[in-house]
Amino acid sequence: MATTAVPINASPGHTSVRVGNAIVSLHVKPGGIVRRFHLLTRASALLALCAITASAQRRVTGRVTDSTGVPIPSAYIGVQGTTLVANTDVDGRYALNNVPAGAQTLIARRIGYRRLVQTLAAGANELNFQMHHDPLQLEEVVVTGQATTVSTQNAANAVTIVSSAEVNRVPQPNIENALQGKVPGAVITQNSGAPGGGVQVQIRGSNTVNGAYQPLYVIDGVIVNNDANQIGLNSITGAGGGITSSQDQSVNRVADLNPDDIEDIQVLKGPSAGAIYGSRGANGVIVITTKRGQAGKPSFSITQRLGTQMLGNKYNMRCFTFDQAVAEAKADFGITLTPADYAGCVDPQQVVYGNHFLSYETNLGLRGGSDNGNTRYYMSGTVKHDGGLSVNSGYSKQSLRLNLNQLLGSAFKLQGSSEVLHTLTERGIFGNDNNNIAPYTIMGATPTYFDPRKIDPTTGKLVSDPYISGGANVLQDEQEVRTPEDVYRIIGNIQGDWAIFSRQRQSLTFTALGGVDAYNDHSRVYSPPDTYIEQSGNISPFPGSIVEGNADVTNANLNATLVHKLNSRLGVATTSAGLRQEHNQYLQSVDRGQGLFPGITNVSTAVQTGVQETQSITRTFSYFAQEEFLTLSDRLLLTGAVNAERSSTNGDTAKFYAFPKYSASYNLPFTPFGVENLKLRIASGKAGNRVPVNFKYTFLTQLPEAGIIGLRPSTTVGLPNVQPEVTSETEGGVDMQMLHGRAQTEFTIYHKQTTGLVLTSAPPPSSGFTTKIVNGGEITNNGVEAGLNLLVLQTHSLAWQSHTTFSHNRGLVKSLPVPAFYTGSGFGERTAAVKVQTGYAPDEVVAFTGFDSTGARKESFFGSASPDFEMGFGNDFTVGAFRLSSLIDWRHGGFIADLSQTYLENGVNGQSAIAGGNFADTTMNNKDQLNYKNGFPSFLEHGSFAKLREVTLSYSLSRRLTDMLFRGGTHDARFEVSGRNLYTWTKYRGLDPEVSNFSNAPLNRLWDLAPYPPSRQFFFSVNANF
Amino acid sequence: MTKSFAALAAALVFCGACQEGLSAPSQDNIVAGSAQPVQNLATGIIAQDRVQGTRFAYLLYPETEARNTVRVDPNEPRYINELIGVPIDPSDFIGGSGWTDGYQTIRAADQFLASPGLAALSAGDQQAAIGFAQTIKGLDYIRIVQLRDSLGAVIQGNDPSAVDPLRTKTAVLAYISAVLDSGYAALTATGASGSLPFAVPSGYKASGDYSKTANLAKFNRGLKGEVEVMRGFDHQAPCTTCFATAITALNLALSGVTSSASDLAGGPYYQFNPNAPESFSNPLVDNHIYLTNNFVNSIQAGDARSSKIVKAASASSSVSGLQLTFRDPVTDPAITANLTRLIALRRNAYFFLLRAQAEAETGNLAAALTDVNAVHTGEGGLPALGSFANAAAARAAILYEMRYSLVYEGPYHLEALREYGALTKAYVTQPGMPSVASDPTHANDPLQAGIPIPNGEKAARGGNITPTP
Repeated sequence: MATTAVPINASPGHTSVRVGNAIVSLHVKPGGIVRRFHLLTRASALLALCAITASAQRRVTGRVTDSTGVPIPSAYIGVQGTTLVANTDVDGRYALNNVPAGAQTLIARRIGYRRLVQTLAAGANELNFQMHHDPLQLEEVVVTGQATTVSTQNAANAVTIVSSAEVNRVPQPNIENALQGKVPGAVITQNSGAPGGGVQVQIRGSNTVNGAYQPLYVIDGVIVNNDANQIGLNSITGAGGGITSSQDQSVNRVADLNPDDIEDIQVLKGPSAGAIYGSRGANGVIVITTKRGQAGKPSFSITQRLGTQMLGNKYNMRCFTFDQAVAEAKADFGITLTPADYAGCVDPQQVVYGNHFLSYETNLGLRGGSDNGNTRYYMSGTVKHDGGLSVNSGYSKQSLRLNLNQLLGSAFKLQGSSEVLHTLTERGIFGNDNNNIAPYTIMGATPTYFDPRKIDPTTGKLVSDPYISGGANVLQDEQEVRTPEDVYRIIGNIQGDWAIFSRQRQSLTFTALGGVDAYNDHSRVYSPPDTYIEQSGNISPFPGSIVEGNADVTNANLNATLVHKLNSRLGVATTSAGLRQEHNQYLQSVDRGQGLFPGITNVSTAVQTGVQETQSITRTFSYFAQEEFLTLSDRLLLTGAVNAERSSTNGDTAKFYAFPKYSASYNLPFTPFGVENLKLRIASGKAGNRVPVNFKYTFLTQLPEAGIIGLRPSTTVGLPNVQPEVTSETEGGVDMQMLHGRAQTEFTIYHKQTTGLVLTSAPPPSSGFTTKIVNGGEITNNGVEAGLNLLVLQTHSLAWQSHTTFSHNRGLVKSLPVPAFYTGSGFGERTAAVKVQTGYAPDEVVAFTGFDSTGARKESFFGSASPDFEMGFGNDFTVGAFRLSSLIDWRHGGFIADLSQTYLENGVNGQSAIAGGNFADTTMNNKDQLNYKNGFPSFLEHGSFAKLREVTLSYSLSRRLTDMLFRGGTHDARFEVSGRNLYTWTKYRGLDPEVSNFSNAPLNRLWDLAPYPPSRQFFFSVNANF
Repeated sequence: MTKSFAALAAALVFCGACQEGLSAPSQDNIVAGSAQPVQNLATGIIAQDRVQGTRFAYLLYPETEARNTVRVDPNEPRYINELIGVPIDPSDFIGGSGWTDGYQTIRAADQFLASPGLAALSAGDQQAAIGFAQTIKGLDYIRIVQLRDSLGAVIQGNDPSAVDPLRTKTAVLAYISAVLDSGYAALTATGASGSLPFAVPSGYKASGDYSKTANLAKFNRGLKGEVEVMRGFDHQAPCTTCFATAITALNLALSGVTSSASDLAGGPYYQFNPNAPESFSNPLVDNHIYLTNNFVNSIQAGDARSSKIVKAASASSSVSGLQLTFRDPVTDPAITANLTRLIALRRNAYFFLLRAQAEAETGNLAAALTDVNAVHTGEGGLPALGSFANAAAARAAILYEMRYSLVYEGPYHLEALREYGALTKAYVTQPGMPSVASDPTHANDPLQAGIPIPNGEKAARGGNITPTP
């Protein structure tokens, strides 16, 4: 726009001119013609300056649409080499002020669409963008710091991003199940088929023995708790000693989270990416971002699901003819069987687990915002129920969420997230059982000619089972024994961003975030006094058991970060520094009462009571600083960072431990034919693993006697100067995009090394101590990961997208400061055990295999209990309005000790009194028992399997149909039929190769002991967006 | 201005935060080394000693090895398969038991003796407290030796990181004897307080007041007598003069004690409270504990102790071919009082039989007869025995009384069998003795009379568990 100067005012010594929208005043000393000349000269110079300035910057506007012309709100438009950015409004329009003169490069970005780079010509003031969908998710943003992100195009780590669509493709019990088969490097295993969760995520192998072994979960910047609180099932099963035990089949609490609220999940797989989280990043970090609002009028979504489940696998149990039954009952039980007592062949698994209870889920979502996007909101509500296979088992969840974003002026931005959750889980009794109360204990001992559904005509109750000590009826136990776990939880944060200053070439932003995760977990185990099992005295001399548990957990974190961005000719330098503070508080109290009146569940009325309480506080403080430099036309990204942290769990709470990280990624300027983009990357970093609470102390433990508290030395010698374990990781990889964006491959190789393991050594017991804490030793993990995303076919009405992942990890114990030891709980080397020994995998499986010439048992090493490799095969087929998706998860290698077999077998290591066992295959029974007697681990099996994890068939209704059905107002609607865990291919003889009797554990995940059986789940869903 | 202020505020936040302490002391337990009251430390000794003295390792396993009682549990067959007919695995849950608990008590006693709180007591109270701690320490060492016999034991040092040597039974018994003597000296020192300067559980006063140092001193002498008898029977280094020393000590222990039932029951007892916070019931209340047929069949007609033999409502399960029918009512969960039934640390009946042992070995059969009859008539309700023809007859009588008076109280019968060399093939193959299906004739029975040294000791010593003198 040309600028002219127009005199508007003149007075002696003073004149003013209008230049454009500005008024320029000139003061003139009184004088004659010479002075007037000077005045005019100055005015002209000023006018020229204004003209130059005015034409050096400009306002640029435009519109962003998709390939069909639909506007795209909340797209990001930036001017390369500057800090100028803008977001599109509800109509897809944007405006950038102060854009420099001359030709400029503008970049448009929006998650779900491919990045678009266009040139704004010199002098041009308008530039529109037409963006294309990004089916292979090539244009994502990954977290690199507390408040920094980079594009996946530049990311130096192999970060896996799972979108909301992938998370919710099939109804998922919880977030961990949603990640199965989708994250290379992550072995995600269910502990049993019980509803409500209980899943372990292990990324790139195990690098600890006693430390934390699960990844860190961060939701919208809030570090959330993922503990499993033992509920006290041990009090009625007698699986171990004490009120609670590691065999309580508890659920880790990330199961509470609502998958439907998730926008995306980023998995940072190790220290080279997770170093920013200091002593919490050694096992990887799962960063979850929830949905947020968007500019424009509100959009409403509703999803309604109905479903059910069926027993996924069961044992083939033995049937008896009447004559056989008479002979067997007499010989093995001393029972004279009458025809009235003979029920034919009743499969108790079908009786107990053959139900098809209704499952349902209703999700409502509302998102919107102001037209200019200054205010954005997202609200959601969920009601969900998963029916289990047996009565009194299931999982219910209700949640409410509110996410708000608000711009306050031009420099302040405020956002908050809050979610209130309630879950009620009931899983019944399963797992290891020494009291004859759990289903498979009873079913294994009881011949199939006994019908547990039979009613005693005298009492009107289910009959007692005469074939098992204690007389428990398996159906009565399922009906009467209750195990609810009730959790109320709130997760929330507030984040403020203050753009302290923002210039064309540099900006400084201050971000403060405060988050809290707090929940109460109330559990109850109730076994009524009038059940046969309680009357038998197997559980306690006093019939009737109640265990009430209450866990109060609070995690709070406070982050403060300064981010400085400088655009120069060399590139963009992003400098960030800040601090993080964490406070974790845990209190669990478990009260047990035995000897109850019928119908009374008050612990204090019991004949015998017991109390167990655990409490702890952990505090952590850290500084961090990071420098990212993006240069060479955004091709080269260099990063250096350090996180210095101290923690209350360390021996020296004042000492900072530094965890640095370095990385580089380079997108080659010249690529082979057919390859559009080739990126080389390398990253290295260190992260810590927090010392377990109280490992630095030697305690006087309390033992009350006659009402007085007695103090005596504990059996553990603490390490006063204990230090956190340190994991160093180096990874390198190659990422390629080919075939015009239709194919993407990634390949990563990594080496991970953990030193200073926090171990327990065994001092001689005559010291009065059984355990001593030491730092030392080394574990390494080496592996490869690969992924291939392929848009195989795409036409107007046909599409086929394929996603394949591969990962292989090999762990090794390089050194130990203590003798080799068996880890965790177990059942002896005669069945199998996990041994930590130099030169072997951290979870090396060992077992006795026969006898040597001296008659001593021979110990053999079998290899790692973890799989050799894992592959995921995902496919999406779209034909018109129909879409078929599937996911197969293939895991090869690993071992499982199938002790569930022993419940149905008879012999040296069998618990069934039925001669020949209770399996239909008596040959197998006899062979197993003979091998076991000869000193071989009959029940150690390979754990390979392939599972059809997810199948979904969906139909998107046409616009005309949706208008007809929903009377207009809908954007889209869809019907879906989906299934989960539909089929398993495996040679494993047990119910499910995905199993762990000791729930989540760093190494000791070998055991299959009468678990809750697996289920196949089916759902029908209707989804509509308004 | 605003931006400068912001930068300053940010700097202050950064600097201020680094000063905050990260203290998070444990809220569950007290850190060792901190000053704690004498009462609590003494109660810790008593409580930990109760743990050691009431374990299955002390009350049940020796009775199984002596073939008196067996725990028949199909869910846990190791109570049979690891105790009868096979060498006990030192790494198993039986082989490793009855060891660490005792050493934990010993460390508790040593910490008590070194505690600042003790020095704050009066001189007399200090002597009483020291005497108490030394006596309990000696008792726990005795238990360790009773279970491991000639395999030896460790004399615990002060440094928990050190690997103290494994000593011979001879050396350990000598050490125990000295510890008990120093305890006795403290309890009877001039000016020693007449009562302990801290409260003791009511079990310590249930049959005689063992909060009084005079009674505690007698108890100490009873233990001294026990150790001297063990020294006398030490097959590795028999001490013939020790029997006389034992008699002297036991005379002091039994001074003024008659053969009445109440006197025979005299002694400090463990008490139990099944309710919180202790939640500790009598451990013998267990549906699976049965008496062997030989135990049942070998009691003399008219023996009042046959009240310990009752036919169970139902026979036990069959485990490894073993199935039993009779039980002692004290193990019956249906009798509520069993849960709080006291168990003696030691009682006078045992001291009588110990003295009888010593007297028999010194040739004083008449005195041995008197002591045996004290129990034979006082608890058996039987007519007094006439005379002992020889030492063998005395030994047989002592074995009988120990078997039926002291069942479920400790390894006394097994120890006496061991001392007399009576745990033989002939003994275990008598009618009614338990056997397992895999070895019905005890052809491979090692006839073990003790539990092995735990594997943890072997591992700490590079595999060498040869005891040193």
